[in-house]
Amino acid sequence: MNNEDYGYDYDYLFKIVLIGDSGVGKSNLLSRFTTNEFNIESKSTIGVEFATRTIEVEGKKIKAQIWDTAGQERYRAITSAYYRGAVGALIVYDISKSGTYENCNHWLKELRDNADDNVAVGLIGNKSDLAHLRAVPTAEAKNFASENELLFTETSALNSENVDQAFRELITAIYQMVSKHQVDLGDSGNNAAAAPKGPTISLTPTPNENKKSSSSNCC
Amino acid sequence: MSEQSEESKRISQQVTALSTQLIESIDKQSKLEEKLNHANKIIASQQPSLDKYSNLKVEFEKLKISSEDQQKELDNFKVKIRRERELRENAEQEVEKLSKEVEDLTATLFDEANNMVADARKDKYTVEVLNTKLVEQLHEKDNLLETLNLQLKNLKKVLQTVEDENNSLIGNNRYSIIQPDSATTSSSTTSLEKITTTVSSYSQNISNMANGIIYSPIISSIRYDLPLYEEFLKFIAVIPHCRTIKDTSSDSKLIRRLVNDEINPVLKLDNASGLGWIVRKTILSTMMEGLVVVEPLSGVNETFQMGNSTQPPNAEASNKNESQSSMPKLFKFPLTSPPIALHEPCSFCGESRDDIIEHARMYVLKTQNKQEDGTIMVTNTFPLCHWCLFKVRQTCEIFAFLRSLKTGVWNLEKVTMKSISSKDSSRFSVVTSAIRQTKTEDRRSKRMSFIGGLTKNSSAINTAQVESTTSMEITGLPTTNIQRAWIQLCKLRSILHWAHVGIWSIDDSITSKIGPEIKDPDDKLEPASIEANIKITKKQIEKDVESIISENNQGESFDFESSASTSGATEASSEEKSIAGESETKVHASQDNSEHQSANALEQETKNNFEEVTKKDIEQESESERKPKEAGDETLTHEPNSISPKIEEENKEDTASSKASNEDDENGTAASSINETDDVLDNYTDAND
Repeated sequence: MNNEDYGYDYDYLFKIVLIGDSGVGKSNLLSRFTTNEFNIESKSTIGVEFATRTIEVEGKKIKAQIWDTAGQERYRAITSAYYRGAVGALIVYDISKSGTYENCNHWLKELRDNADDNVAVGLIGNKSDLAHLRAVPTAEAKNFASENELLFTETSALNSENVDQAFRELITAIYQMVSKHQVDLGDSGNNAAAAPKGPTISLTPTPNENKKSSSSNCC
Repeated sequence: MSEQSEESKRISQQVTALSTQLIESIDKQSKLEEKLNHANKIIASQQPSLDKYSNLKVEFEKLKISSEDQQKELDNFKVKIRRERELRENAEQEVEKLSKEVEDLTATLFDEANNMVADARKDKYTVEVLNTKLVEQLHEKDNLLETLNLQLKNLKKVLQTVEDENNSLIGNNRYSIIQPDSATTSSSTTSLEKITTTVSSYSQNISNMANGIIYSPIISSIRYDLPLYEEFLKFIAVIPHCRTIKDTSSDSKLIRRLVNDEINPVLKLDNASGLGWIVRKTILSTMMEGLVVVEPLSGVNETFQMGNSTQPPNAEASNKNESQSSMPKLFKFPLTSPPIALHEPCSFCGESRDDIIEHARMYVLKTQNKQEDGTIMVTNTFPLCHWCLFKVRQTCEIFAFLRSLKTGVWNLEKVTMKSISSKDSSRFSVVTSAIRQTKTEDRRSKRMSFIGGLTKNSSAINTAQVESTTSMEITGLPTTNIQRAWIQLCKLRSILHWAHVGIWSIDDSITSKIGPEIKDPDDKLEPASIEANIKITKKQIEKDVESIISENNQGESFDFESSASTSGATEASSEEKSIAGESETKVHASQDNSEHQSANALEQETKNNFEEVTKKDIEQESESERKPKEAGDETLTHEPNSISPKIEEENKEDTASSKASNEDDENGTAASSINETDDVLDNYTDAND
């Protein structure tokens, strides 16, 4: 009966999803962040992989549960289920492959369709070590991110440049949103189910969600 | 006379009587007086006593009074006492009552308290039991989760293995058509390293020459005995101690040789009119440090595919439409805009034509400078045409790869300058080792069941595998990560050479992805990961699958490199394949005989192709020569043993290609000749039948 086994030593649990095209380096970003490992020969993810890391933001211990989803199209049907309860998302593209950047729009749309309204989103240009193969100029991506109100970082999982920073920024953003939201809740108090702390599964869709799904999801 | 005598006598008598009476009275009086005196005296003496007595009497009276008072008082007291006693008795009764009450109360209190404690204990106990059960359940769930995770992991590995096998199968069909990856929406999959290819029908392959491969060597034919490889080993030995890859120049000539022999002739920096004199001198070292950025003027340029590559996939196009209508723009220019280019000539080759996309200067090379505070500043930008873009990027790729060797992601084996100089490094030059062999055997047996499930005729395939155990040795696949890294370097160099030859893009050709073998810490039972497993067994699997295909396709061979072509193999059954595997094993198992046997094979082939009539002769011939060897090993019976130089001479033209691969064989990198031998032997068995 050792509760420590179950690691209750954190204040918040955030679920974060990593999305983006196949081969942009999501899995390596995650392994770099959680275990500081990099595998040059990593295989494409099947379904989803998880990893957690606890970091401290503003004196609070935050456990980030990161879902590394498969980027391949054939897993697309499953991946949409992974968005449930996510409070943050990182859309990853490969700076040396323009197509992965162009698909960010698609990923963003999918995220908005499937995830919470107030999910925090970061845009990540990975493989910044491949500057000589750069296909997406930083300025344009930065511009795209700011227009969509996304956080933006260029990272390199290979030489671990900016990886920690990117995750930290997102987690901090989520934390700020959550703590602000909680204050709001304290005032209204009737909307406890919408608290973003922890994954909540609402069995009855709110009118807002109804509207959204009817307008966007065809299948 | 008588009367007077009598009267005198009588008077005398009376007088005597009276005198005696007097004396007596007097005496009595004195006595009385004395008595009186005496009494007086007593009285006088008794006077103080009398006084005392009276005093006492007074005192007695007084005392009597006081005694009475006291008596009264006593009575009062007695009354009081009685009253008090009554009070006391009352009080005592009351006390008794109270104490009894208190006792009762205490008893009830304790009862109640005990009850409460008991209740609490009961509650606690139930909670504890519940808790224990819950924790048990949780552990159970944990175990379950762990098992499921493990299972999932293994399943994923299997899935990956299957995928890899498929890929390697496809990759091995080197004449297959490369199609745009229509399965995925992203154009990202058409990357340099990872090209998903799909095999369409065989007949289409021939007609579709546009997608044919010009030339590409295979991994097993890479040499590890070149001086440059030794320089590469030296480079690896010193790189951990060097700050930059350029610092290795004192110990290893690798960089110098690469730059002088390969990069400079391609880039022709001396003729690069667009670069300044200083830039020409420094640009290579800037590239080596990774301080160059090569990027399009706008990301929109990347949507225009170069060279002969195909249209972007449909899904992408629909994405574009979508993004045009609703999404915020990705680039500075709308996606429908033409590519953005500069009018200035290319700074490397001076290209100034604006006619086609490949001539346009759509990219810029930015050189950067690292400031003292660590920030990076762009110092210069140079426009690039597409051809130079390719060359510059490829040069940078080589340097980037060399830099990556320093980071440790390649998991390179340890080598030291000492070991290289003392020729200890031979183990990095020889591609096989005994340990490797035993390991692969283990793995192979694991693989067999899997492969068996894949095939209809699993037993035949399995035999083929068992017999081809030793053929693993001669596949020429790298056994160390250093060798894998060398292959990667060779690949990058060859791409650079292709750029020099003059191609627009390599995006649409086949390259195999080469990476280090990294041991999976989770795999405790299997020392090497399945990943590596695949690598080692790849060749074998290819062969197996090939035989399956040939089975299914009625022996239609996919391998054009084999000189036997399709003619002999058409009737090849899987059983014959297994025999082929056997004899192949023997061919390579005995190095002494290999040359000899290849010659035999050639001879057999030629006979088969040209002299159906001589079938019997061969049989006789071979049988006669076979017998002495049979004693040693029964499997040898399937080997062709006769040499007939006469026939070989007659068929010189046909065997020319075989001879070339025969030379390969001699070099110990005989992978390409395996298939050949396969087919040859098929033919042989055909002939024997």
